[in-house]
Amino acid sequence: MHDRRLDGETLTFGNNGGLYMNAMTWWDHGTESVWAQPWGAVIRGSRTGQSLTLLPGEIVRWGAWIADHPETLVLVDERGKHFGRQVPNEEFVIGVAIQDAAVGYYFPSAKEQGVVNDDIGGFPVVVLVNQVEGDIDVYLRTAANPKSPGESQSLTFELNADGLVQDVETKSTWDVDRGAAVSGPLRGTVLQQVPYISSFDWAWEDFYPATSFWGEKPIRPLPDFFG
Amino acid sequence: MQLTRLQLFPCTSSLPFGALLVAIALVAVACGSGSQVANAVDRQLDDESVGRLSSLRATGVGAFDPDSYTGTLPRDAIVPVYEPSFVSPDEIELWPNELVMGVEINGESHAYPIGLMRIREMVNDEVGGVPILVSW
Repeated sequence: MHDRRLDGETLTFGNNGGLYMNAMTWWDHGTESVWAQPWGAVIRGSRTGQSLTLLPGEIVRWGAWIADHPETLVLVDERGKHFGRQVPNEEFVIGVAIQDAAVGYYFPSAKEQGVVNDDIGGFPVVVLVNQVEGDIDVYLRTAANPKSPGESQSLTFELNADGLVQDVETKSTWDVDRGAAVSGPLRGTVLQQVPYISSFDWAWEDFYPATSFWGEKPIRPLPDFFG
Repeated sequence: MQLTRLQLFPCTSSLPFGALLVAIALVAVACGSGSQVANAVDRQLDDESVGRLSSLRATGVGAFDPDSYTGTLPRDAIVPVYEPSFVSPDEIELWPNELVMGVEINGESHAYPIGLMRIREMVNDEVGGVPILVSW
């Protein structure tokens, strides 16, 4: 999910039809430059060197989405009645790239643990996965320090005995979906959300060769089309 | 644009300390209970927050390698959505366990069923006043 604005202009994108390193490519209607989706960046054409800002979005079960967003609108089109349905497949990584560093978190391991405190290229990051619904949220785990105003501190998150996410430093509890502390000394504090991409690990490594991986690679059955 | 880690955290970046205290107090007064705190936090995406996201943006896009490009289909053979249509949840039947892509910006939420995204692959949309590209 990308912001289509670039240098004060709103771009319109089509499907370029070709694959770059096995991933989809776009073309923009203004200059017909070719873009690689996993980077959100131009690979060929007059816009070479430019890229879009990745925005936080999520891939989530409908039941969980509608519970949190009852006013949501849903995309339909003329083929809407005939499309298939995609049910969860857990063999992917949660790909997070910040500046020149990247980490792929194996989803089953992250879901099992629920909370992963990590650092990506010097940025303290927390990856939160709902152990029932599988919702994924990634934030910078940095907040104002209530004991030392004007300074920020890194927080370390954990699940408490009630299954709520809390930070070790202040024992504040947090609304995971909003990245907001809802009780404790940090109540009202909001974390900076970090966008992520759901990807197969091999594709993530193709586009972010410096990536490391966290967690255990699932033993993957061969996909249907090989069988 | 490079921002330091400290600057990335909005509450400590540019506000003078007094203003920070006032802001915290306003939040505390406005929020009677935990859930109200959470409800008060819409996913705001103003120029400042876009700037913060932009500063996190991954670098290191590789040089174009023609051998890595395979042209398989003509442009727009998989027809992108240029003018999206939406319905409210009671007008569509989705399974509770089927996947959607969800985005919330400035209090507005859109869901894109993955089954449909596999057919259309790209949607040029606008959510909460922000033009976005959704791709699968």
